[in-house]
Amino acid sequence: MPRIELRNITKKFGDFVAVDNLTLDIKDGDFITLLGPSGCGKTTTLRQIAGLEMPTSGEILIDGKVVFSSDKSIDVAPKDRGVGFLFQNYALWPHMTVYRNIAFGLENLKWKKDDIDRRVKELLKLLKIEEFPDRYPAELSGGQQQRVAIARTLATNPRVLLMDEPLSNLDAKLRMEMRAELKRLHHETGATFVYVTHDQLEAMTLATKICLLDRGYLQQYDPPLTVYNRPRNTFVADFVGNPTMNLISFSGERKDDHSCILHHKDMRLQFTSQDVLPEDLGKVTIGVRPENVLVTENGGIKVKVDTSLPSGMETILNLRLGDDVMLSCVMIGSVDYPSDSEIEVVFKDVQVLMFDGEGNFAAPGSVKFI
Amino acid sequence: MIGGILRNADANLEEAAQLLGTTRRRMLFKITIPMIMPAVLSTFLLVFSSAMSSFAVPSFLGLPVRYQVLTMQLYRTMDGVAPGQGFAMALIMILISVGILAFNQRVIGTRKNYTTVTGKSSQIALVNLKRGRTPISCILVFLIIMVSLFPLVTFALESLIKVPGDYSLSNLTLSFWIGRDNGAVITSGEPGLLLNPALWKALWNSIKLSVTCALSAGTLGFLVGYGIVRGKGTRISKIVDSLAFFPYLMPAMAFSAIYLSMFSVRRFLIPSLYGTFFILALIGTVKYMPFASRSGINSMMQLSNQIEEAGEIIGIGWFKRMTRLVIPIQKSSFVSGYLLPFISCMRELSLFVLLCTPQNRVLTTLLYYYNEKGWSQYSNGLNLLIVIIVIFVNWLVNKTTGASIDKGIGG
Repeated sequence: MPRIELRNITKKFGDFVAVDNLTLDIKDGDFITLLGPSGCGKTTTLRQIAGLEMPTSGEILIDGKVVFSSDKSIDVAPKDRGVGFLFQNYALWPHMTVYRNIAFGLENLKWKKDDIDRRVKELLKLLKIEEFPDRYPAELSGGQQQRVAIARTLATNPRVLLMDEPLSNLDAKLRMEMRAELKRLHHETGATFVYVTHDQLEAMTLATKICLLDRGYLQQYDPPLTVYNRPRNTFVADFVGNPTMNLISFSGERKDDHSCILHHKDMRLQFTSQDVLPEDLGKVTIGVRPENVLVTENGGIKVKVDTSLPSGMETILNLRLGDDVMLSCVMIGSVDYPSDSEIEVVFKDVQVLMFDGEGNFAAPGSVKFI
Repeated sequence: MIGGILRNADANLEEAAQLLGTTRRRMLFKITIPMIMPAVLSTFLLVFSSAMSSFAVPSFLGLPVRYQVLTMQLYRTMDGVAPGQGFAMALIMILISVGILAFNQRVIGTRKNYTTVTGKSSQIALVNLKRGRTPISCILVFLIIMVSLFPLVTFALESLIKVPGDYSLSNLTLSFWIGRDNGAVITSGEPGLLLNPALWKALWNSIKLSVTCALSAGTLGFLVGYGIVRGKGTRISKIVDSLAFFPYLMPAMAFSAIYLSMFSVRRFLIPSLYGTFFILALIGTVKYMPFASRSGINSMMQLSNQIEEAGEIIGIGWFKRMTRLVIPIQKSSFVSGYLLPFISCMRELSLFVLLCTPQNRVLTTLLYYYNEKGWSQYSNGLNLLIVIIVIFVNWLVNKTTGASIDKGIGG
């Protein structure tokens, strides 16, 4: 079963570096999402694995076999890499019926007619499109087209499935449905999935591991909850999660190995951690997830409600702390605080993250306003 | 046109086939060709139809070798011998081109249609030609020179020689350009081109006509385009759309035959218009309106309704919305809506040849007249002048407004 290894992959388009020295080990049967803002190199990475794009330097291995190596001048053709590719715009051939679209790859492999027929019917059933074998792509809805594209990709039984934002052209409801189906497919086929998306929610819900890229650099490669709870730097912290993490800059003053005093204007707080704090504190950033900002009756710090946005299941509060800090807070249930009313909040223990002057993760901990 | 189709074709479609292990041959025959077939066929039909109705080329090249085509017959019969027969021919021509376009419409409108969602098709794959690079570039440059620059040089040269076919230095003369009295040479005392009152009159007529047609066709076309897009989905919008496009389907000469029959005699309040400037301007405006309305439709389609609504809400009147919002935003396609009729009009022969009288000759009909007389030096010189004027105007407009004709045609 296939494991995909990328070693020091760099891709340049002229002077523009799309992927910068990326090393990635994708385990067999993983569901990896390549996540990042547009232009971060995620699609390029995917196309390089498929062989549609040639890296400038580096090495790619699939199933232990070198499929690309700039040093050894190896470049295995896409069809011989045993990968399936799902395009963002489906790339269905408009002049072929659904049946012919799915059968095409099998015909290339010189399958017998009966076998092809059996396989196509099986896929039509698997993807719940049995009614449409004779339709042309233009006569199908977006969701149906997507299913045909998946069926076509799965037909030849690829053990690696590469997907380039396959759900971004669907409406929100259909997208939810297809997400669940992709997860089911991953389970049923046992293949390795690599999935490109810019939607962090999609990445969180689908992946076994998230690979977060920015401007060609690997930012973090971890399971979704690790990425969420222990972001490696402020970019990751800011990119993952909605509403975004509260990030406030402070100047720090080390007291001992496990605690320090933080200042921001006339705000002062004490940060304590189980971990050893960095020697040189200087400028630091404190990150708190909105759901870890808790409204309390007493003992908290006073904040002013800027806006409150109840949505039924939860309420998002935008709060003003001091004169220049905005905090967002998510609480379960719907409470409607009037604007400009005063409430008190605390930050949940151990869930406060400290980032150093370069924005890299330093330590988790708790804070107390003093 | 086919280059454009190939450029717009989604590279993913081929990549998908490539990943499924398609051989090159199979890819070409099963994916690439079928994919672009409708577009290629439709290009083929359009070229066929415009060749069917062309008059200038066959009459310049075909006449000396007696290669008669329908348009030439039509001109001959209409110009004298048997107008009735001419009208019958005009009718046949119209039927043929409408038939071709109807067929084209059917081919495009099948269910294998191409309205699939487009995405990242912008990834243009460059093919590395390696060692073939220099020779291929040379051949292409050579071809471009052969088809574009070489004819101009030929025109210039041919207009300078006394006896055609003799390229010796002693045979060169400027008298066809600036000679006062060329009686001795070949032509019957016709003054050189630049001193020839007939030429200046024709030039003035041409410019007057082209400007008039451009202004009226451009303005009307823009308004029509605006109306069609804003009224999208209504019946009247569809009717106006097809009506405005209809003259495009008409072979130019058959179209002018219709005008000839309609306006050659006085009918009710309309006096006989034959031989007037007005009828030329009228037919030019109608014939070129499709260009302008297409470019109007294209530009209005790109412009969100909301831009105008935003103006409407703060109380800006219609006229001001046009001149301050819509037109400035779509400036370049707006200008090309004028430029296209102008340039087409400048070089049009078949549309005017039936309707022009010696008094209101335009450059192209003068050219035709010289050619008929066999004064090749004059016709070559005149040809050169027309090409230069057209290129100059396009350059001028391009420089001042950033618009160019190739921008407006798309669609």
